[in-house]
Amino acid sequence: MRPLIPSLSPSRRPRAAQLAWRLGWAAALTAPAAQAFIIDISPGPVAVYLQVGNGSFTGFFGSGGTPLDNSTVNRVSLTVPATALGTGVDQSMTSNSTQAISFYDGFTFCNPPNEVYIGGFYRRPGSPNQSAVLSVQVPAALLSSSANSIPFSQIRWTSSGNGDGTAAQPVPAGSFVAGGTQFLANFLRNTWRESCLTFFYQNDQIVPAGTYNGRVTYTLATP
Amino acid sequence: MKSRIAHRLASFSGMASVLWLGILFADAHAATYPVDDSASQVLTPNLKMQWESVAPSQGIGNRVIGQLVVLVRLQLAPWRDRNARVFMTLPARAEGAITATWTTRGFLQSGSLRSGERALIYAGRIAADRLEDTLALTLTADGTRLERVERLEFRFSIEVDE
Repeated sequence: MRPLIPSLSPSRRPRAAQLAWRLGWAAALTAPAAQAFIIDISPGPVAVYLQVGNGSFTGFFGSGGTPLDNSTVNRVSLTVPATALGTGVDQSMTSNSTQAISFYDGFTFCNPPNEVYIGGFYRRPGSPNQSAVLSVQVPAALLSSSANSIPFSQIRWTSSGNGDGTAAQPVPAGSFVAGGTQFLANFLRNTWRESCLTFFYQNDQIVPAGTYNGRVTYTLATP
Repeated sequence: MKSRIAHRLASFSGMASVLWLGILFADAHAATYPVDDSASQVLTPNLKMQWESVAPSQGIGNRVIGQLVVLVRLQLAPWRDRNARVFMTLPARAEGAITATWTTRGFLQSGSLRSGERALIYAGRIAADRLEDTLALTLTADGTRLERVERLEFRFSIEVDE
């Protein structure tokens, strides 16, 4: 490497200048190349969780809880008294759900068996206001073993939550739209959404005696 | 002093003057040099960050966290037997701060820093050509602002007492 001051030799300079010249040499000879240790970090994974009725968790979120699979399919039912059949007076339904607390924080949010818990979250990195879509797939009708039917549109629900007062619920009240996939709500990314649903049979028609069954399926879909 | 500096500056060519100014400035402000850590080894160079809370929560929010081990090997031979301070730095990032927290085996200091800052990891006499330690490093970031793979470059510098 050539010296930075080729025109003057060290011996011809004043002492301080010689020191500076030598320091310049030392720096030029020993200064290491800048280095760094490098880490490539990747975003947190996308995750989605939906709970309708009974669910399972290890603890709560605040204490680092983790969602678990729960294959339970809860049932909502009622028996219509013969004297009330087809009067158009809504009949309250009850469920076999026992889910009262929210796994968000352990708060007693719903009042089973009348109310069915529904809640979940959409976890994703990034800042865009993307949402997961909650929908429900609804058959055309509830069917009896005698092939009689009741349109699913005969079932409606209200939505509430303990402590929420009259505030709008994330999953709003409504009624099933028979024979299709029905939009219910958006779950904004990185927020927890939950409501308690109370179902009613609208009892608008006289139907043959029997047990009528049908299953709706709730889905939380990510973009 | 000013007249002596002026006299000496006048006696050199333009390039020498630049060198003089640089050296005088460094003397007055405790010279800082980059440190060669090319022998360092990151045991998990591709780190998949995880949500600190699997679901959004009030207490933790949307932080992501990752942990890894770094074998730090600093080449300090140019400053052997001198008193110095060694710093670790992480450049600032527009997408939000990264926080790094680490523990060591005792040769270097444990500590933490945010991107854009530097942290002291060693102070004292440089007693060997090479300083080695193992860092158990924890990285934390805002998960909503970490949308793609990002490269973090931790650098070291040394401040030498004159």
